[in-house]
Amino acid sequence: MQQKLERLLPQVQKPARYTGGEWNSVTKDWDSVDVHMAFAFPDVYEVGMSFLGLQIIYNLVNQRQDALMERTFAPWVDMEELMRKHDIPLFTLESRRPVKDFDILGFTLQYEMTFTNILNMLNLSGLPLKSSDRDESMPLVIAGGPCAFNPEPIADFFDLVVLGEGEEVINEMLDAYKDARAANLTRQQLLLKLAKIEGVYVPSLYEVEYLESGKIKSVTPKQPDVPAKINKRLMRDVDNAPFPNQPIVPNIGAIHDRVMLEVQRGCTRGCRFCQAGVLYRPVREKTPETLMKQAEEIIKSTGHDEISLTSLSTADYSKVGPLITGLLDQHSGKGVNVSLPSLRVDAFSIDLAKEVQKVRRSTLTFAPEAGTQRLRDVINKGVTEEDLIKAVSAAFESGWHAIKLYFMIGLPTETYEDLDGIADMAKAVVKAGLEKGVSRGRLKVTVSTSSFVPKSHTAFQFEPQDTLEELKNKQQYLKSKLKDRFVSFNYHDSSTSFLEAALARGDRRLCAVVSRAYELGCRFDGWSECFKYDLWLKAFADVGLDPKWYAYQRYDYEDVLPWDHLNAGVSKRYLSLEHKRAIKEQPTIDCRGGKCPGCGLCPSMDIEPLVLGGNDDGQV
Amino acid sequence: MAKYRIMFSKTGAAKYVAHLDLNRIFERSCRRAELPLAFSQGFNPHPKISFAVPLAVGVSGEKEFMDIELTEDLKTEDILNRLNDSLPSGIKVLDVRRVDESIKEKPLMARVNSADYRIECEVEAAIDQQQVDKAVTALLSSESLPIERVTKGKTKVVDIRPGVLNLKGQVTDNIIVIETELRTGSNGNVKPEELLKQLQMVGLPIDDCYCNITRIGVYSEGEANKELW
Ligand code: SF4
Repeated sequence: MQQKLERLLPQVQKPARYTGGEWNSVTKDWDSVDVHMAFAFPDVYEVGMSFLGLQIIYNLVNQRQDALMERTFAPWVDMEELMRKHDIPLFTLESRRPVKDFDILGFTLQYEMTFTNILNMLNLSGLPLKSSDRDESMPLVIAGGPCAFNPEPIADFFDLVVLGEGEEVINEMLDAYKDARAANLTRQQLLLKLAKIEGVYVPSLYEVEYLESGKIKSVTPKQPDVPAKINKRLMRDVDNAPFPNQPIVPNIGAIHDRVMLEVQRGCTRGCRFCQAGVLYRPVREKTPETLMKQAEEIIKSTGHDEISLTSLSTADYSKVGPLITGLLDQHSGKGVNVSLPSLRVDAFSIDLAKEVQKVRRSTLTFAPEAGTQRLRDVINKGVTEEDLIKAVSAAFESGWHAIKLYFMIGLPTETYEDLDGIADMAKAVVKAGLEKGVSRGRLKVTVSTSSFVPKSHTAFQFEPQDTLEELKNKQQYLKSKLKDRFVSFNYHDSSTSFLEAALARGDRRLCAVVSRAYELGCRFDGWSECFKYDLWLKAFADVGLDPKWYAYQRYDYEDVLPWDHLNAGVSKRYLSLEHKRAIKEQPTIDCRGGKCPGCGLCPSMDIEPLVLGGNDDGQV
Repeated sequence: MAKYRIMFSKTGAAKYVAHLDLNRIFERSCRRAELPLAFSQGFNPHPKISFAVPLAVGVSGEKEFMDIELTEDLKTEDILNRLNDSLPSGIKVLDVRRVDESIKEKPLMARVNSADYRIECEVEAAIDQQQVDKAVTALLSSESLPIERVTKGKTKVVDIRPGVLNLKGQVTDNIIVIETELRTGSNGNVKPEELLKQLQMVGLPIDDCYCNITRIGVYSEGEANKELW
């Protein structure tokens, strides 16, 4: 295989995607360990290598004496074609072994539009797509990541799925796997054993029954000793959790090619459309001492020149100010910068941005999400127009001249007045720019919209998506409203969002659609140049299902949802309550301040939010 | 401030690393090796690293050159060892020497004039030496070798004959080894692939075969010392 591969590489784009050999990658002696695991990222190398979760799990598994982990990514279409032509199976980068030789093949589910890539990777590995068709000789195919919280549309393809944070559960699984093999358990016995680990969901052990309406009647375990509800896993002590101090440094530019320093986990803001906000609750901040130490070690081990402070909302981290000062004091002399991946819409964020960006080159991005106060109350986005104008004015004063505003269209209860609101906000930002003396040649305001996709485990899981037609009308309307020499407008393709909605709230019957779409040739559906909408529609039609039924479904609070048995910790009762509050345009407080609105997570998981608090200006 | 010339090789998986990425790899490796790189002044400071001549993606290099500037004067041996402990697989420092800046010399990049390549072509069936010799002679005796090059969407006809400085071919079983010196750098450049195409046109059966290209040396011209060392 080695030799065949050598001959193909010169013929593909970016061959370094497939060669491995990067600094800090780990190649262990195959025979020296008991368990061999491959981490599969269902997108190209550059995307996968930007994913912190990969580095965390890779580090964890390879730290074990008895196990190894290697990586594999979705080959780009040119490479796939050659691999098929020359009979090269999917292989790992480290030892260039066929994925099929491994004991466990673990996928991460970051985005619905990678589902067909997963099937393609299984097929390229020479593995049957369906879990039920795989035998003892084949690797256990597992998955984790945000989409694992509704894995039903791909449930048939996985032997098991892990809910929540993987740091502890991965070790428990590897231990159980080793024991099972020592005890000569069958695959079925092994799955039963693994199903008893908290956070592990084995789809084949559950029976789904449907109502005549097409909605779910029930999801029940087929065996008495399998849990009816699977609870997510979470790390209690994030500060002391193992963190990859020697992450792999890609040889070719990854999308995020820098130190990713996770400052906290979870977000307390409670935006009602946001799934990550629910999945990663409660908030757990790391101490600045830990972060300073980790940053130092990672810079030493990687040679990176930028530290990105990552989390769902880094500006909310209690010690963000002192942390930035501390990091700059220690590292800027060596040419190392600090960056913030996201900013809040307020003047505090501008101060932070000023601190880290000595040269104001790039655009500043803010996400007000909705155009009117009314709609922002519906979605619980605690931002006012005043906040925005204050923030952008401060930015213009500090030398920035390009601002990007990010909105969602098609949010529940949205009207055309809310769209007018978006246009008004854009104009207000232009006005602020001119008032602050930004030169007319340089002032630029970009409005970027995406279409709202209702996601499981959120307050809006009950809501239908706007029809595709309506979304397109809204885009056109906005386009006409945003004709201004200083404003440019761009929007995401709404047919992708439509399919995303059908899949994100889908049930097990969609497995047939996903595999049909794959058969028809769908791959890299998240890449506009590869996305084949017609084929997806054909896949639905061939299977006899309607994507509209899924995307436009309004669920009642009493309905059994396809993912109700998968517990992210926030109670369904609370989500219903939040949904009612949304319709009444009532905001809900942020639990960071210590007042708990009662989402149910902390008592049910016996945990508390960990917020360091205190004042921002202390030194580290 | 101290300037060093580094001789290195880039082979194996690393031959697929593109030139811009290589620059970054060295920058990071220096940081890991705790070598104090000097940075340019200005808004967007970048490390003072400069390469003799870029290597195309997929071509190995056995003896490549670069200059780096450090803010401290270090032992060359130290630099060599520390860098080698910090470079990803496939990239290796072979030698380091201090560049005496009191002697004025043209920048490394401007001195490159030619390069030696070794090209191994694996052909389907065994061929004999005569066939290879014939093709080599045919090519060398051509007055001109016009090829089409596309730059920025425009097609231009260029004669590469003056750029082929040396050419030899040797065959064993089904592997043809071609050794050639080609004009390289800013005063004219011939790519090994362009030469292969021409060899194909004069009858060498290397159509669609697998070729392993290695640059084995880079040289300057008209200087007392042809080596860039
Ligand atoms: S239970 Fe209360 S404190 Fe805990 S995450 Fe939910 S809202 Fe926040």
